Amino acid sequence: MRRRLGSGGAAATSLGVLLIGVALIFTGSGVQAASGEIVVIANPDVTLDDIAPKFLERIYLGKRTRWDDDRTIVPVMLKAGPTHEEFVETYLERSVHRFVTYWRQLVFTGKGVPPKSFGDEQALVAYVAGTAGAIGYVSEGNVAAGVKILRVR
Amino acid sequence: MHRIRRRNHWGSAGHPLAVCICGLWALVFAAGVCGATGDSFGKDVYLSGFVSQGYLNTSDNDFLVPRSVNGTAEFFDAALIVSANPLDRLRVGMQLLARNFGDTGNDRVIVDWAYGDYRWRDVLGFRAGKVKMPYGLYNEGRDVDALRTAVFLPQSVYPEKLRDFVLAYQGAGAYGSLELGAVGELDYHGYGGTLSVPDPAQGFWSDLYSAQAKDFEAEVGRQVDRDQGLPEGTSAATFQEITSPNVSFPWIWGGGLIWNTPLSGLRVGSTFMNGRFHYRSTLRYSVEIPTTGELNYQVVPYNIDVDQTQNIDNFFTASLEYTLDDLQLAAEYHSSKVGADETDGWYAQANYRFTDLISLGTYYAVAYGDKNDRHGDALESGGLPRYYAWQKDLTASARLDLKSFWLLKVEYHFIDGVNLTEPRSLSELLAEPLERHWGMFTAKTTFLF
Repeated sequence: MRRRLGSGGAAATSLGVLLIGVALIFTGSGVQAASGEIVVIANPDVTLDDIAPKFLERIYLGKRTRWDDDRTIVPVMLKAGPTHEEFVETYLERSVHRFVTYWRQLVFTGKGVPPKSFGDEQALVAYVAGTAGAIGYVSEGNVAAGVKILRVR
Repeated sequence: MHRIRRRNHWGSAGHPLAVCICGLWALVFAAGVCGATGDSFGKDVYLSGFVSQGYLNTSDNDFLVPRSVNGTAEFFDAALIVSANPLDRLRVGMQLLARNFGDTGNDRVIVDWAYGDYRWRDVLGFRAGKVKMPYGLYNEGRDVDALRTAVFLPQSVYPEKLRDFVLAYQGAGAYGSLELGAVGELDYHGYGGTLSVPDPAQGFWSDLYSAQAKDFEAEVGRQVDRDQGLPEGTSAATFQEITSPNVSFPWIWGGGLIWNTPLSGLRVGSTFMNGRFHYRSTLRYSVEIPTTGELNYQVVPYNIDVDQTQNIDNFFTASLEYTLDDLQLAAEYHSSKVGADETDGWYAQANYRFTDLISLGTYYAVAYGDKNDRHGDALESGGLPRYYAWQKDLTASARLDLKSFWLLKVEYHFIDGVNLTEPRSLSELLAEPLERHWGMFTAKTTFLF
């Protein structure tokens, strides 16, 4: 759906190449199988210990962008896989297809971009641990030091 | 009077390609610089886009594009979207679009939308620039095939001929999303500004006023007879062309509300827009006047300057959508009053995604050209068939998601009535009536990135 560029390196791609070579851009990514319950994690600087399901849904739909202390929320997600599917269906109350379509609409109307996504749960945990205001989810077995667990209730 | 035809090659709202590309790379550069300065700045530039190619063919009657009865592949879109967060709370983005749809677009690259978005709070943000207009539930995403099953949105609410000017407003707006606790949440967007028309010399405006100009030929002939002191019916006028067309919307304002109800998947919405429409052009006729000299007639030019202002009193939609897993149901009603013309229409649709590969959809859409003459009584008294008053469209669509980035759609429309067909003059309609029952086949493939 989108292509993420770094700080200018890939920016040399021309308009013509982009319009002609679209079919070559998108490839699948590796995903991990779920190993246990889904756990919502956050950077330790997040002051919340509990998070309401509605709050979580609004974060991942781009409708809530600030924590209660007005700091920026940085949501991250998995690219695919059973953990991602279960999270989307359980907490966002929609199918993955509908979730993707929702974000496509925002992207193609300039209203927003989807959360940064990871193909690897350990990489997601590392990103949340090192990013102020970050929130994500992984399977229980992949929780590591450096992040806090938020109870969803 | 002779006027030089002025072609607004880049359109009143468009920009030269160089400006577009410079703007694009300025965004990329700005975000790249910001990205290097630290975590307090947004770092990412997002690129996305699509390329679509379609085909459509009507069994009878020209619809959506001229000469559709012959079949046409002049049905192409390519878009490149860039957005970035140069500052916290600030997002900037733009879409470059090249489009060829019959006589409109002709592959010129235009800025379809481009705006800055300052999200002060989740309940209140501000947008300025050329901003997607809230109009019904699906106007903002109407160009994106990946968002729906059908090739065409129901024409009774989202007429393709009006796409260019209802897609986005140029101005400023405020928006937000408000949590309402147990009763759901409310999304809102209010705006003011103007509308743009990429090229008034092509497409809908040209066709509409050309048809009206042909209906005025007899009156032009009578006027020349009066001017020359000739008996009525002596001179014969023939419409030639429209020159120096200018379509503008001095101001518009409007807004939209969407209530996301506590029932998951159910949303209810309404949008409205008011404004003023201004049309200027010169209609050029040639008039044959009989003479007694060596030649038995002379041809003289006759020009009419058109300067028309109309109010858009209410451009209104009411919408309902329910999504449950892979089933989506929707219904919308639309009405508008532009000058003395009041139109309305509605549709109901159902889409179901059977597998990751296959989705099927259907809708029934009804459009009325005059909401006070839905059965065509006035048309019939004017010599036209009643079915010119409506267009009822039963559509069946199939969508194949061949890959996550590649989709294919096929669709057939079973149509009763001709109200939304290409504009034709009254004399043409009387001389060659359109078919009441007809159909349209269309297929389209889209690549996303």
